[in-house]
Amino acid sequence: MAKQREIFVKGATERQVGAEVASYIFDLMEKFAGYGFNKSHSAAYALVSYQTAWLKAHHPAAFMAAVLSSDMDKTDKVVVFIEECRRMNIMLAPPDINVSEYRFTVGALSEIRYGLGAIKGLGEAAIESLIEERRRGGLYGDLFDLCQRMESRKLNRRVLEGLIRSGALDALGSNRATLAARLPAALQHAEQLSRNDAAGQNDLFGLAAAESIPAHPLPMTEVAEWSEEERLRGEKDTLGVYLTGHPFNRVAEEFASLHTIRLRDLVESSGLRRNNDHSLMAAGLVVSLRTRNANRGGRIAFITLDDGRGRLEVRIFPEVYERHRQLIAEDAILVVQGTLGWDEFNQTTRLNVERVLDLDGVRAEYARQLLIKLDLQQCEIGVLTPLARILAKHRGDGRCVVLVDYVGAGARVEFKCGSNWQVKPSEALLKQLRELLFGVEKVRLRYGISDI
Amino acid sequence: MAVSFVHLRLHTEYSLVDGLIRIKALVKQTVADGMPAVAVTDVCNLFALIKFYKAALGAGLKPIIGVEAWVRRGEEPARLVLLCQNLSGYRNLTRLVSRSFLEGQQRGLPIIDHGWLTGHTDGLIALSGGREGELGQALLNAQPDQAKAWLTDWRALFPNRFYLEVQRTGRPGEEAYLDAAVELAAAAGIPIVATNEVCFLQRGDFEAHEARVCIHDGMILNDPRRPRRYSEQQYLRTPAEMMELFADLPEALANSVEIARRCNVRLELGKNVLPDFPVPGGMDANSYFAVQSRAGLEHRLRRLFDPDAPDFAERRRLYDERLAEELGVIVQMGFPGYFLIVADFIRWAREHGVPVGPGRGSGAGSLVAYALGITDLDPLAYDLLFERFLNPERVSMPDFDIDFCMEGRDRVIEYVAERYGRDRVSQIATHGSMAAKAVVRDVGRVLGHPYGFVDRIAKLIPFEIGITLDKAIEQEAELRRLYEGDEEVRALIDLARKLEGLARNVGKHAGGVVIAPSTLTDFSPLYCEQGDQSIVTQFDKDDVEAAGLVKFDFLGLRTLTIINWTVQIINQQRLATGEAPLDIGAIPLDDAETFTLLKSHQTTAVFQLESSGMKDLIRRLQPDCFEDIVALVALFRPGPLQSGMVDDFIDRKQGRARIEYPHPALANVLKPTYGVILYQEQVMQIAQVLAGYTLGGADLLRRAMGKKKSGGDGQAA
Repeated sequence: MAKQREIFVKGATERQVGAEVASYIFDLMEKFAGYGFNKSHSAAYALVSYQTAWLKAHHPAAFMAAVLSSDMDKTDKVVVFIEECRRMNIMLAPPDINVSEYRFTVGALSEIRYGLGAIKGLGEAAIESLIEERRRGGLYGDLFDLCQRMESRKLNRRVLEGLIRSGALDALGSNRATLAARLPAALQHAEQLSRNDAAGQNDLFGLAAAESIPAHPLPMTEVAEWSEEERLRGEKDTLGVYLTGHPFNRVAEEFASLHTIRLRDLVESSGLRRNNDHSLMAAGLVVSLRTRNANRGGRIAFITLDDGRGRLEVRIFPEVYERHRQLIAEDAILVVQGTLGWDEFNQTTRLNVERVLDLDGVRAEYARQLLIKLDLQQCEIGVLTPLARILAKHRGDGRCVVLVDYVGAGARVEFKCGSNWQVKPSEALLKQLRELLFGVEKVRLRYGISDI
Repeated sequence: MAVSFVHLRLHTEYSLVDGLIRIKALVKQTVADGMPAVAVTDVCNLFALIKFYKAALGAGLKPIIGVEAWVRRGEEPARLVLLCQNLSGYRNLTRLVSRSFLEGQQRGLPIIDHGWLTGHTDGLIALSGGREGELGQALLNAQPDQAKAWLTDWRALFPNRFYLEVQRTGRPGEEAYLDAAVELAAAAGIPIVATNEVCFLQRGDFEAHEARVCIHDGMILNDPRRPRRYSEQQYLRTPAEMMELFADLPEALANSVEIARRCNVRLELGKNVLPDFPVPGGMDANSYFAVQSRAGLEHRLRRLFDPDAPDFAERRRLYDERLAEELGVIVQMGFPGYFLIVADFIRWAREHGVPVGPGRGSGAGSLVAYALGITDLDPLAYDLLFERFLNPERVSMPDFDIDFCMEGRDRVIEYVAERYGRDRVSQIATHGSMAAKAVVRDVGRVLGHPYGFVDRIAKLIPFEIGITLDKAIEQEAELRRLYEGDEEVRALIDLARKLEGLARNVGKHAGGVVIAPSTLTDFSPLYCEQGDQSIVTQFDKDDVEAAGLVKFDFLGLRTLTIINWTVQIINQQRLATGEAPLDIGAIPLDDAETFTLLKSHQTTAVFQLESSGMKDLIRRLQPDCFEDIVALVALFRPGPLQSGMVDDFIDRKQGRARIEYPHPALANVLKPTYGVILYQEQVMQIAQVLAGYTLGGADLLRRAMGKKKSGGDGQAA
């Protein structure tokens, strides 16, 4: 290298560059040759980056539909892209047996239509024949029509159940619970028809009497739709995402008074990123959980929280994880408390978790008021006695004051129950009260955050 | 000391059905035992050939190339050892072995038809195969007349090159066979030779070798009905041991040395031979290449600039000069055919709706490549240098790695096979090895442990790339506890360790394709699965290049598929509304909306720019021109991020720091990066502008500087 330097400096001085400057520049080059990047490669690949950015800017729905399709078999990717669609205000239409193609498509209103290929457990061959038959014989009218037109080999009960739970058959019945309830009959009906067909073919003289099957099955009773929780679980199982709602929604309002920070704000709050003392709480549904061995022993956990609007991966160090590991599981709703830091290695904001609470934990600790709405009518049908009994059962060492908002005939009063009525506001208590009073909105929790 | 014995029959790990020997260890021990030569005769294949050849020469050992073949005359195949005397023998062996895979496979066993040997034994020495050879079988079956008749045939096939092979490895029938063989040899005047059918290096490796064979055969070690085909004596015996063993037959040992002396294959490695591009109309390749390149440039220039503008002639002058310069270098280096071949299959791909990437690696620095449609970015507009790709002062093979849409890649490979001939085009083998987790499961099975027991141990091995059993024991406390506390676990893992990393199977390299100038078997033996049409070279990607073939990388890039699908959706809509279809290659590179999207770092799903760290860099850098995107990718690496270079770059771009140049003459070179030296091309240009280097010389300087900083990661491709 010394020789190279000599040549360089000599060449430079011949071009009227001072030897000292030349040597300095040689140092610089040496330093940067180590970091230097092949620009040819970088430029060529930047063109691909630019093209995708251009497509995303000008044709967002078409681009995201293609992106979703390209990774449709990887649920973790699909989840991220769907999140991005929501952020971009692209409407995402659920899968529909009568509209969807194999891949994600773009509809007339620039909405992205879920591709059938993204439904788990549905083979490519089955989907192709579904679409093929739809092209040939027109839209599927109802569940019976679908079962009749598809051979059971290609579309067995398990696959059909998946289709129902994913929402792809919503157009074929009034609700998913009803479709699921009718499925056995529809399959049986289809099987009888195909048996008769086969018998008809074998029996040249038509001597064998066909079983008599009604050409159109009788209308069947309707079943009440699944609870939101069950419906969402079905979507999660078959699509990997909650499409028509989010499990966190049921506590989102409650947590608003807890002043948990919204995860998306946290992700985008790079302004905060070097502020290490900022203690805060974040809440969400655990959508993924993985652990690995920590260098210093014990296990370190990475959980991704999802509050229906954003996601955040948080790292939980061994001591904290060890203390709370029985709470930390997929699909649990958790509140994490900690300080915000900057992860130099990954160049991202990190929440350093100091404490993990589940629903009951956070309520026991921070809920200050349990607000119950009562009215005259309820009192007349006699809710007061069971109400008192339920509250008494949950008194424990609770610190949560019970407030009653009573609406009578032409009068309304809010009063606070005595301190001997203080309760521990567990999920069980809330559930019992809400059942008793017929409504989620009748029972509310309020948090006091001053002690955080 | 006079040489007394050379091993002529030996299986390495690449025999796959058996063999526990790793090449490096073999070479080391052969040298240590004082043997000047050694043969590798893997079962029916030459997978290990190049590795063995290089390692042996490196250690001053003479490599003897051969195989242990199965040859069939009637119903049952018999063993035959074939050793190469010279290049012609090597060619014959390559063809025979390839043919046995392509045409002779039975129950997964590649078999050479006896009829194929006629006319293809030149340069090959044959050893009769011992007890399991055709003659051995006849002798053991007490059919001496049959043996004599066949011997006549073998002598005619291998005149003065046929040896009766004898062994003493403690296996049944050996002595009976040996007596009959010696008698036949004496009567017919045929030389005998001793081998040891070596399958492992040390006697103590026998059990591990048995385990390996059981893994391959799907057997359990202590199954009493399991065939016992090997003995613990099949290790690399020393010459002294062989002399003691064959004290009564000294000529059998002397002949091994004689055979080693007669085998002298010199392979010419590292000299690549390009296939010829079929030039139409009797033109010579060089002028056709020049004509095509000029026409391509003309087409590009008319799209880049307005040909009627007054400054068109002036603007194109730079391009014409650069093209002429590049053409000169490419012709002088002898690579026009390479460029034409690549341009041809890329054109075919584009014409047949297979999206092609803009070129990866340093190829984008070539204007000729741009003119021929190999790359898609004007190198002059972005200061991309040809010498970074092909340096006239340092001759090396050009290397275009081409990205295709995943969906269409196989069609392009198919086209290439059609164009250059199916006997000249193939994909490349990879040799899979026994990885930690799998070997634990395999060994657990052959030891007869219940599934649950093995599964529990296997699951304790972390799922990491490059994990080994040693590392796993170090990392996983539970595994270590079991290993230390449980005898059965310890025995299992210790055995697994001996097998870990051994060659296990043959696969296909993801994107590599070789195009040979003549039939493939002039360069590499071939392999295929039984009943499978897709042929791969027996050599892996490094070896196949060493053997002289030129590799073309057909890589699949998912993003191209995404772009293609997006454009399809858009153009369907446009078709419905009667709009002109979108040409993604023609979009302006200064689109305001695109940069608005980038600046707000909404880059999920945007190629290369989607990680959260990259988003943060984008947020800070606020890219507003194409050069900034090029810089983003170059900046987003540990080196620049940690050195403060990124902060400096951003401060200068944002106007928080003054843009300074180390010398005023460098303003042009460093302007796109605000005075920061970011690219290798800039290092080269500085040497050129400031100190009068040629760009070729500057490339050598850059390489020297880059090498010195081994911690750097500047090499992208």
